[in-house]
Amino acid sequence: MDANDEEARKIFDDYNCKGVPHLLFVDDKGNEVDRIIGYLPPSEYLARIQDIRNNKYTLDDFLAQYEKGDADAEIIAGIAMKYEDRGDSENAKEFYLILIKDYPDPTSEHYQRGTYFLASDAFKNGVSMALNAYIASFPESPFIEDAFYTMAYHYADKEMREDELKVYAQMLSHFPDNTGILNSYAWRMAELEINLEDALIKVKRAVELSADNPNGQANIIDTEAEVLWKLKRFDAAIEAIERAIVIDGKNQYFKDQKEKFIQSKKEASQPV
Amino acid sequence: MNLHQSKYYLLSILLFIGCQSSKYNWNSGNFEEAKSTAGSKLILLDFYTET
Repeated sequence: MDANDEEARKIFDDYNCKGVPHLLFVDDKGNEVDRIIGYLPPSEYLARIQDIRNNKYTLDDFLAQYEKGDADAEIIAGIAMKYEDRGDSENAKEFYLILIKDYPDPTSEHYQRGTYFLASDAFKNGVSMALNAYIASFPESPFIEDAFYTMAYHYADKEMREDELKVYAQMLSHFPDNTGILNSYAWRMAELEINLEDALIKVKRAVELSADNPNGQANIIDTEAEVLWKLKRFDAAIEAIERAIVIDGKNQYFKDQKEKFIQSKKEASQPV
Repeated sequence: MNLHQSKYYLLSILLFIGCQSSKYNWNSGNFEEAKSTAGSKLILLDFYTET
């Protein structure tokens, strides 16, 4: 498809897509058949495409089984997740509630996903303690990090700075060595231009912790450089971004960042 | 760089998946044209980031 960004963006929004990579399968009427969100290893990816071609494990397939009375936890969770992927919160909620009621096993991932979805839904609809209650109730849940991010982004959107900062403090306390969270915190502080010294400490820690993942580390070094730039430490910012460029020399964004820092240094050195 | 909420360039590529064969055909038109020629085949839209 020779689509320009504007057309692609409209289709992306029309189908309630969130995040990339995002593969959408539709029929000739434009009806969604299925979607694949995020990266998959090649063998798994091929298997999913073959299943979709055969209308297997799609929403229609799950609903047909449910209506025949063949429903189990897998099928009910499958239906709920398909609706959730489509941005259809009401139907997702209906099936997650069925799942929780009929298969109340707090140790199962489906149950934890369902309760997380319901808590998020309640939070977005004004029940401010819903996600904190979820975190307290399911401390071992794989959705704890998601719960924190949901709160942080919500408060950011609403410009509720104090609440947003409290969530970041909670996140960092809960996950002190999580490179993604350390990096997100530092980048956000750079955006807000607050707590920059603390952000620098946190992002340097993330750089250390990501030594075994050079590509990921380059992106975190970019955050370090951005924080240094906000602190007006231009030489240190240039030195940092050069480290990122050594790791990923083809990254135009890093090169643009370096130019930005050099320009700021020049402007700062000019007499007023 | 914010890894969790990074900005992305949205591009879209589309291909048809034939139900009777494994041949994939890239479509060079827009979405409406693809739907009008898809028949019983599925349309795949690929949204990805350049960064």
